[in-house]
Amino acid sequence: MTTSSGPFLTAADRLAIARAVAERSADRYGELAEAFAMSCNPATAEAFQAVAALYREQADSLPPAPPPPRGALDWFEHAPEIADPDSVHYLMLPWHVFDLAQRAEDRVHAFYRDQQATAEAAASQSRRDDLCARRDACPKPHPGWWEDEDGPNWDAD
Amino acid sequence: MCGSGGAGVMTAANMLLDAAADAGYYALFGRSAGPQIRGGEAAALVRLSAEPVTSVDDTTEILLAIDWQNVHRFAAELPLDGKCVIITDPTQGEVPEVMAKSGARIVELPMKDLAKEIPGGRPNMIALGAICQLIGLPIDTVTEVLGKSLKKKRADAYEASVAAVQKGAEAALTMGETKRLPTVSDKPNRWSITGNEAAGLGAVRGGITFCAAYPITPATEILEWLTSALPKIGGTFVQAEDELASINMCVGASFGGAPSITATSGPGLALMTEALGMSLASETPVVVVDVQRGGPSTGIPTKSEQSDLNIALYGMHGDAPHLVVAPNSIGDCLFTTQWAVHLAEVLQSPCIVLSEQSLGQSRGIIPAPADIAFVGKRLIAEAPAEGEKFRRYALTNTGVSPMPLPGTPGCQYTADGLEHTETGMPSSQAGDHFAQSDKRLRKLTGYEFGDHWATVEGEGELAVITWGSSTGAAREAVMRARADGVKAKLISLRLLAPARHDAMAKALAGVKKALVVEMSHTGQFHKYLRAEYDLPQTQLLNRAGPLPFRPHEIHSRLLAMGGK
Amino acid sequence: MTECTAMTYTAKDFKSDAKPVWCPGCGDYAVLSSITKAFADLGLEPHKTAVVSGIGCSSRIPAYTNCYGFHTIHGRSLVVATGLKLARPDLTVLVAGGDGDGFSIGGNHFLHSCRRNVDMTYVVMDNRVYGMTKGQPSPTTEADWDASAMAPPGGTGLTPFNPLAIALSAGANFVARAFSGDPNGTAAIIAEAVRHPGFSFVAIMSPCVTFREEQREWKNVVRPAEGEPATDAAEAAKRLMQDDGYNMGVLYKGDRRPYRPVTGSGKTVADLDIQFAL
Repeated sequence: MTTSSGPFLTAADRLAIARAVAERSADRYGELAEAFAMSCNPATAEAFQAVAALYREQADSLPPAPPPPRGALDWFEHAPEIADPDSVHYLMLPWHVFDLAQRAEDRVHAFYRDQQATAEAAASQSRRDDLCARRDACPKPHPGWWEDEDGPNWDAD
Repeated sequence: MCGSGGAGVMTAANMLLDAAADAGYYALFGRSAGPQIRGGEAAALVRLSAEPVTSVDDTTEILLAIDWQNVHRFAAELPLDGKCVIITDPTQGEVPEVMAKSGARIVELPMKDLAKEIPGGRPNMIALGAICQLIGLPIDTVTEVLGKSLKKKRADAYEASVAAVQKGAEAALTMGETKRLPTVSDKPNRWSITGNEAAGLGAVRGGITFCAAYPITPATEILEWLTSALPKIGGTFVQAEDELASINMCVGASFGGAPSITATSGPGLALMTEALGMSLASETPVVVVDVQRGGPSTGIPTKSEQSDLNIALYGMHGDAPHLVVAPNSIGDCLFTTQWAVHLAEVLQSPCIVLSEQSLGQSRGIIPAPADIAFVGKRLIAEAPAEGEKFRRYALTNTGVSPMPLPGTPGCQYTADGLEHTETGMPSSQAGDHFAQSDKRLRKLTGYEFGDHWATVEGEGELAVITWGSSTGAAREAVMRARADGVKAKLISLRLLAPARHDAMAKALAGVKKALVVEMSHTGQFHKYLRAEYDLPQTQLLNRAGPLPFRPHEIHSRLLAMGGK
Repeated sequence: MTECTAMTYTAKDFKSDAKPVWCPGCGDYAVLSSITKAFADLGLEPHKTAVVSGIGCSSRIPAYTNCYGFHTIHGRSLVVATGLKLARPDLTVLVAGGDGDGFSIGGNHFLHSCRRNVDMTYVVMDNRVYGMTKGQPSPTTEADWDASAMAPPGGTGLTPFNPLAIALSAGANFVARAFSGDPNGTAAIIAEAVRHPGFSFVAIMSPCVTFREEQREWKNVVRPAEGEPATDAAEAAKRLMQDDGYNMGVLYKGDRRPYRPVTGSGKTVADLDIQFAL
């Protein structure tokens, strides 16, 4: 399966992929939520929990499906990873969380669009709009939001 | 002050310390942090005083939380009672139940919201202003400190910080009374320094020119300080691949004539014991600073304990008499390390300096240390005796035999861990082993260590016998007991090995009851004292780390022992 | 309790409830995912798998898995794991740690573990720094990196350790490099490493977001290694000595004899008395 031109998906494949994407997204965002609870950033942890809940709900709304065929999700594996130093920062804000999620959903949308899976693409767009709305409802990150006067090598001098 | 993830607690506490220093006060500044490397929960523990201070107090008189993220984990380190004040931001979580039920007065200060009213304002500066107002530290001392650190670099940050400090001070006017600083009339000569920095400085003052080391919490700061200091004075610093390499490199450098030091903690000292034996048997001086942490094994790397006494005293195999010393305050880290270098060089022995995390990683505003001219002076051999083969391990009166610097003609010898003759040739003969064992022992036991062996203060029929960081709390307890009519002596050992029987007997003259105080679960110091010294009727006050002894704990035991 | 028919475990089943304390953005999160995914893909069972580590940020990993684990002491993970595997060859043993733990204090054991070639897999999360002690240079740190209070100005000036070349020349049977930014690729490499007999070494580039911020550039410079893994040691050596450190993939798959201890001959302890009796 590729994101550019290639064989179009069967209905069964589409279901399997949709369910897997939703479940893995819910897991990833859930893990991120835990990481930020550990990093004493509760607002961001909550935001990740909200996003995880969104995907958990989506996964639960789909009928059960077998795992997708091998390689079918390779395009998805560049979705936000808890370990990407460019995606996350221990001081990031809820605005960043929803922005990260909507960018990830945009990639999902691009996949469905390329596969001409119109129903899934529409659903994805609607999720993306929701995430953008949640982002825009958050206070914008203030300048210097990443600054922590107490560095890791803190020394009282 | 506590908070997490970017709250800037340490920065604010540091500024408080600097401001108090500028105003003429003494201080002690320790910290606690969670396991995260960035952003985790952190608590800055500051004690300010008009007199030199070397101990934590009984309670946390003011506890200010910028937020309460996981702060309940520090609850045991922040004892509270009804006379204390908890300052909390109502938008940043509830006061943890364990703290609220202490009976402390709870006051609200909306630091986050107040900070928002100032462009670029931060809650930690609001907090700083409020604290200074409450304790009576003039605000302009804080703005001066801000000026020094910010004005040149970032003028807008300076403006915002000053405004926030002032706003915090204003808000504090309606927060009621708290404990206030006594006024000070002058500014005595003081230093701002951590125990680890002091140990590094003590080392170079003592004449160290070589350090090979491996990073380990909580000793790393000594090594970081020496990394930049040693090259400046013509010395050498090497980061080695592990502790085995570190200690062996140091002994090698010392063999070449360079007074050498390394610094580590319990796990590293455990690795070094074999090479320390080599230093001892070959009579090549070396100094190891062990900044003790929670043990055993990996233990609690970021917390203090006094539980490496056993390995320091007994860690080497064989009959292994050597030097063990221990500083009893931040300032004493300087003197004791310097003294250790001196002793190691003069007595050609390994010397272990038992420091502690609570001394090493805490900052003190302390009386400026005296400049004592204890420079390690090795007894150098320049030539063999007329017509003789050079005897490196000659059986001299003092037990100290001159050692040559490699490069000196006629004095070549092979240093050896093997038992040896006077000329250094390996020997398995009983006579040589008896003679050399005796030499290595009497060079230490026959040495005049002088008054530095212990800090002995006061008079009385009671005595507190302690060492290391417990000394500060013991000293305060003894003072309180005296005020209560119970006269007690403080005996804090700086020289732990070799034992000083005559000096201890003199210190204990007239003492009928003793209280041994130590942070060791198995009472290592108490057992050592009983093995080496004649003690009067003795009780033990001990526990494992990480909680330091507070003066009232020792004070109440003294009153009970004194029949009050 | 009787053995039920083998369950299939998912990657989640290999993770414990303990929450990692790593900084958000740390490459080790992805490595944890890769390891658990590899275990699941291999069809392993958590209770028959052991994860052994040393000391450092990445060495915290055993507690985050649901396997049997041992968080040993600094630099000694390989030898503790060797003892475990020799006593219990039925277990799957994975050793994990960082570059400081593995190549500095652990260097001697690294050499001899490669040479001994016991069947286990060693995963090193290399971030070219000592993270846990706040940022000192490690053996894989670049010679000119000096953003550390314990590095001389201008850097250590020391040639960085080349762990893959050393592993090969010391006798390891499988040598690979991976990148935490490609968790699926890393999982596949780890699975292959576990499957391959003998000592398998996987060096995983895992950026430190706190002390080596510049490592976020790694994702722009890493590339898949060209060609098949070398099976000839001399050819592999040439490749590795010319490698610039950014080629990902299995670089050597050998057929060196894995360690086999001497097997028994069925005697009992009582039989041993005979040699002394007169």
